[in-house]
Amino acid sequence: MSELRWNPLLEEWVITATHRQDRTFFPPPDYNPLAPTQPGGFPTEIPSASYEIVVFENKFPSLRQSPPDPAIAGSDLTPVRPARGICEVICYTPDAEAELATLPVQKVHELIYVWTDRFLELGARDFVKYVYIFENKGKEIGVTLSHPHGQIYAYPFVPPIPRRELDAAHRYYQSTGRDLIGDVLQQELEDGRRLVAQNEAFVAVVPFFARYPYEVQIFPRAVRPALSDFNADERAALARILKTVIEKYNNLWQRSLPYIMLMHQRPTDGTSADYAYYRFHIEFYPPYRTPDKLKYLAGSEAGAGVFINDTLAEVTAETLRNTPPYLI
Amino acid sequence: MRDSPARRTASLNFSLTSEEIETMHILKKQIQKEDGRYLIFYHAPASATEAQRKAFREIDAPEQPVTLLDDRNCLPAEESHRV
Repeated sequence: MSELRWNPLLEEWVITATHRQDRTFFPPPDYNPLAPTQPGGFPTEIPSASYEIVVFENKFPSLRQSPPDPAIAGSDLTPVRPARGICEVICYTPDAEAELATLPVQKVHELIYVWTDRFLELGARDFVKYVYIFENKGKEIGVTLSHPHGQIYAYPFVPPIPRRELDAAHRYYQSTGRDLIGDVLQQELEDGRRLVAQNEAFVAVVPFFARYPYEVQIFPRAVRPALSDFNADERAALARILKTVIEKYNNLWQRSLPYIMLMHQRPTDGTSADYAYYRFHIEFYPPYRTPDKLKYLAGSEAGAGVFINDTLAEVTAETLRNTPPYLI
Repeated sequence: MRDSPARRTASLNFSLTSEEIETMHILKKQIQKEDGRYLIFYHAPASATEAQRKAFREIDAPEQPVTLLDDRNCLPAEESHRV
């Protein structure tokens, strides 16, 4: 069963997707559904002996282009809708042992082009209101397929967290005439203690308000509401700073660091000119607070939405800043 | 806690040359899988291996360039201020 169910208490949609209970779960090493299909071998998701970057509709999607009708009746208080949208998987490389941190920067550069192409193509669908690009990395995050890949969800609504950011930025713009993210970034640059890396077009910081100990956010220096607003030089700069941050994470404790990487950008119900008060940015949520201790989302975080950070952003930023590679 | 396999990375070359940036060129081919789902192969001719070029050539689908509206500035110039 699959549908959108409205939560009137939080004024948000919940997606039910019972078919996902049977999705691929830690397949044996010799069965990798994201590897290229070899001659004489078992058929994988990719019907080719080799590939560079592939994107395909998720076999166990939370949202579908042609969803079934809801299996349950809603009400005026708790309406239901078909779970219409698009869920894609994006395989970064055919190398099952690789990860974003080990790919050459040129490959990351190519990936940015693919992400942008997906944003434009999915965003052009009239039923899509928000294109959300993200990567879950590591068993600690809940990943069940280790082959390097990310996902793209094309939602039929603007999800709650981007909605809050957009609304906050809009209110700030209306009261000050300035863009909120630009002022946050200016403050970070003037302070300097939370800088992690920067180049001519982007700045990476552990933000003043970081919720995770080693959270990093990457902001563009210019007003760019979406991936599609970057020029060629900015896309190259994004590849470099993205690679820098992810390699710093792996060098932090000399191992592959799990994280959630996500991109927040403008909705696709208008143009970037409609959202000139907002900036695209990337956020990283690594779950570890020390080499062997996880930060759990417990009562305060999960139930009250109040994060408790056991570290200081100034301290973890300095640690990351002093971890190679260096871009400052 | 089980450690993930050590994947320490050496600091790789982070440079992208002007030529690499200016000649960045991506192609794609879209097919339909047996169960009706679509799959898109992306191909970067400049960096692909011979095996990857061959695999892309052999995909029976029209080739399309990836165009990102690079020259289109959706923002008024005065709103593109930089920090």
